[in-house]
Amino acid sequence: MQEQNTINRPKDGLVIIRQGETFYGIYSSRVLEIVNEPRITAMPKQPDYLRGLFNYKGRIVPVLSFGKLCGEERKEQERVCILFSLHHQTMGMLVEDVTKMIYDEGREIPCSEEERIRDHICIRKVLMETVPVFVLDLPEVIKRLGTAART
Amino acid sequence: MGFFSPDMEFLIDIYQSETTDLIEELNKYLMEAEEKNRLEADAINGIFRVVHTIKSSSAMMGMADMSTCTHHLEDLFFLFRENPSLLKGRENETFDLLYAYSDYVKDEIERVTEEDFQPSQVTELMDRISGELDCCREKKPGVKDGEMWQSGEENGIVPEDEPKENFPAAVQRSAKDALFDTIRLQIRLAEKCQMENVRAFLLINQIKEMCSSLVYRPEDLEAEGAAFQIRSHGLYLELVSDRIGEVTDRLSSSPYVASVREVTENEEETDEGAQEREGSVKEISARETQERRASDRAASDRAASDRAASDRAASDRAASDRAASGRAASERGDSRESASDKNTGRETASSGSETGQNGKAVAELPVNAKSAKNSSILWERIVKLQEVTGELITEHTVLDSMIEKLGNPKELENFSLTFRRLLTDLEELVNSASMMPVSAIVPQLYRTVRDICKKEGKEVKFTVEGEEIEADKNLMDTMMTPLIHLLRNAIDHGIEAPKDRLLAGKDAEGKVTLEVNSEEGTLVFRVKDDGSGMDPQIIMKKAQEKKLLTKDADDYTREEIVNFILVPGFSTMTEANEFSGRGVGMDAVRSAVEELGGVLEVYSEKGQGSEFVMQVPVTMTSVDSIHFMVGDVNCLIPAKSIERIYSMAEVSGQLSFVDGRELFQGSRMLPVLRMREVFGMPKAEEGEPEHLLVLQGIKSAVCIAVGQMIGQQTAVKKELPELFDSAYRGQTGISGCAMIGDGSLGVMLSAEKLIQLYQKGLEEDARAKHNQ
Repeated sequence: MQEQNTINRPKDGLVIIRQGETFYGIYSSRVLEIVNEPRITAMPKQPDYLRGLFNYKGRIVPVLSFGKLCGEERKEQERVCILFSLHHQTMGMLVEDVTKMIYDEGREIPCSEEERIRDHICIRKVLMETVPVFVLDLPEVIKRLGTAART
Repeated sequence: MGFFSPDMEFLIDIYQSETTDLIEELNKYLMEAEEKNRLEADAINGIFRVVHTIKSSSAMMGMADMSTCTHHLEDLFFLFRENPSLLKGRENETFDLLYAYSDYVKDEIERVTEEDFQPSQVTELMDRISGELDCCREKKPGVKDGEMWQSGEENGIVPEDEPKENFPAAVQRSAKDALFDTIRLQIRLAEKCQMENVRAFLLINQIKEMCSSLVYRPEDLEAEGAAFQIRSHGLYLELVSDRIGEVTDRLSSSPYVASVREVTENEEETDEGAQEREGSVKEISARETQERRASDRAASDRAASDRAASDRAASDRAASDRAASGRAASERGDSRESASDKNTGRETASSGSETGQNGKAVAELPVNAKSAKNSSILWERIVKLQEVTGELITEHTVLDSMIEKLGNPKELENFSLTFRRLLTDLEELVNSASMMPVSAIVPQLYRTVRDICKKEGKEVKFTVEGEEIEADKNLMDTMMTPLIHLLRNAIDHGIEAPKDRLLAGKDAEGKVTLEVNSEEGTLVFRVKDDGSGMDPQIIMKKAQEKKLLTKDADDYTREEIVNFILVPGFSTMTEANEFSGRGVGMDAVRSAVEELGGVLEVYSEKGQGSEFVMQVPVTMTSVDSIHFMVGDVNCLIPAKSIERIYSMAEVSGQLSFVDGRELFQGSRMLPVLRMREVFGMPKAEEGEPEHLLVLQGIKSAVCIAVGQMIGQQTAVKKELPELFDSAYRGQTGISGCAMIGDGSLGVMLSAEKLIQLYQKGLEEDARAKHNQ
């Protein structure tokens, strides 16, 4: 994770997700919709990281478990689905809560050693007001999923 | 930053779509000409018109290389038009050149929508065309580069005695015809329609065949600033036509035309005097158009005999050219018109005797009707319409379920029935709009055959039977790859070299046939050749080497042996060439067919030839389905796949195990798949209802053990996301998903996929056992 604030990122807002006690941010330009308690259909023999399929305006969208990706899955707590678009695909990601939307880039802060696990899926860590937020790198998240699917 | 500016994006689509249609038209001319081994006047004129249009539109889009290259080709075809004998003995070179040009344009056009598009180098093709041109000029001296059709031939015939300075951008024909007044029109294009000069060019193209004289301003539509001039002041037309009603109708009906107004002489707006002159300018109303039409007809009748006499001499020379060029132009007009009519629901403007020529032309060359359907823009709309129709049907299913929960009140039930009938009508309409004839894919297949024959030095007569059969465009597009594969194999592996055929007592020319039939909800594609066929001994030897046998070699039938070629990586070729021999082809064909829920069969006789049969189900927007449970998973399967439904308790005595495989002894012995096992679920709990469904596929049958039966419903199949790939579908028998009555999703099962799943498991087990 880079400590310098040098990453070329879009000037848009961050959708802040709460997962347990940790906060994550997704650039709002990626987010299509946020659905509370979506009706998800589990598929037989579906990959472990998937929670099932969701019918989004007639399009069938796979829904991932964010907790599973972070290694902190608490299935019953994940009730909010963030729909996002990446590489011409629409996907959903179940998270515990979406707290707010912030139009502020925040101040970049360094990661501690214990937070290294998040290096794989986060671009950086920023301080929003007084709360540290890990900004998600969605392409990396999907790449990790691809690796998980192959293994 | 790409090659085109961002505000031209939607014009790129139009350019791409129209040029694709034109190239298809060119290929159709080529295919017919090559069959006859000569380019007839109609084809020469048609090709001339095609390249002329591509040249102009490419220039307007800033595709300088393509425009220049096409310009050279246009010059060449001008010479052929003037003197068809120049072609004599050069037919094959010309065909090759045109195919190379067609490939070049097709490749460029396919890429124009890419973000980082940059035109490719075209030097080699340009040199080839220039070489041909030089060659022809030697035979017809005195014609210099760029001089050839600037005398007015470009757009028709200009009478020699006509004062050209008065017609700076004229599309003139029989301008002496003074029986009709000159009409001056100002065309205002829709605000923000962009690329006004391109629109103007297309409008002029659409009406020029209806005018005996046509002058337009700005004169040079390709000039810098032409678009701005049209945007600011409009496009001015000065025309003479005996079909003025039709002309104004055609202009007014264009989606990009905001207004068509008649203006007086010298009234064209200038920068200084751009204000509206309402008093002297009148909008051409629909009523006036009607009146004009009536008056056109009367005047036409009166003028007919006089005109016939006075025009005859002038028009004799022009007649054949005009007929051909007019046809091409009007066909393109018709294509656009039909697309536009479909979109707006308007009636076609042309009517009566005047449409006779257009109607005949379209009938003669149905490729243009198909082209309209092929237009990517139109196709996108049809796909969208299919999706919306599917959604409506799905929502109706939910509505039905709600009505049932309310105890089926009569009024609601009647409403639902009426709604359903309307949906059925809509679905039929949408399905018919998405159909295309087999003939639409023939030029591409023909091209494949031609190219392989040329490279392999083989002679093949390729015929297609069932060209008139229509199928869903998506299905046809998907079938293209396997068809091309089979044709390549037929020529490369099947058809022998001419001398070998003669030695074998066959004609030097081999036969490859594609037969398309529609049989009981399926489409059957048969690719047959009269080549060398397959040698079962060689195939068996290879199968043994690869340890593919599941039983003793002697127990295999000829058909079973031949079917080894469908196993992944199987190839008896010792060397791979450009077309085949790497052992990936037939497996890919089988996968593509199975992915569509179809089957592939192979028949072959050594020395006699081979036959490949692909049978795929016809795709529909909605299917009547049976809804049942497997554990907690809602499942649907097309009702037509189900032969019988038994309660498990009823047939438990007819179930037995043979070699670890469960079988059901009904009227015949059938394998049983326990769906809980297939889905990786634990066994059913005591007391859970169980049913046995007998499923009939295209060629085989299988039984599946499932849980509770829910009922029947209309289902609209939706594709699974990419994460659920073909491997997943192959392991589960799931082909898609669909919304069920309570609004949640159920999985759609495919009888064919379940049969394949069972057969693959059986083969793998047998192979492992045999190889132990």
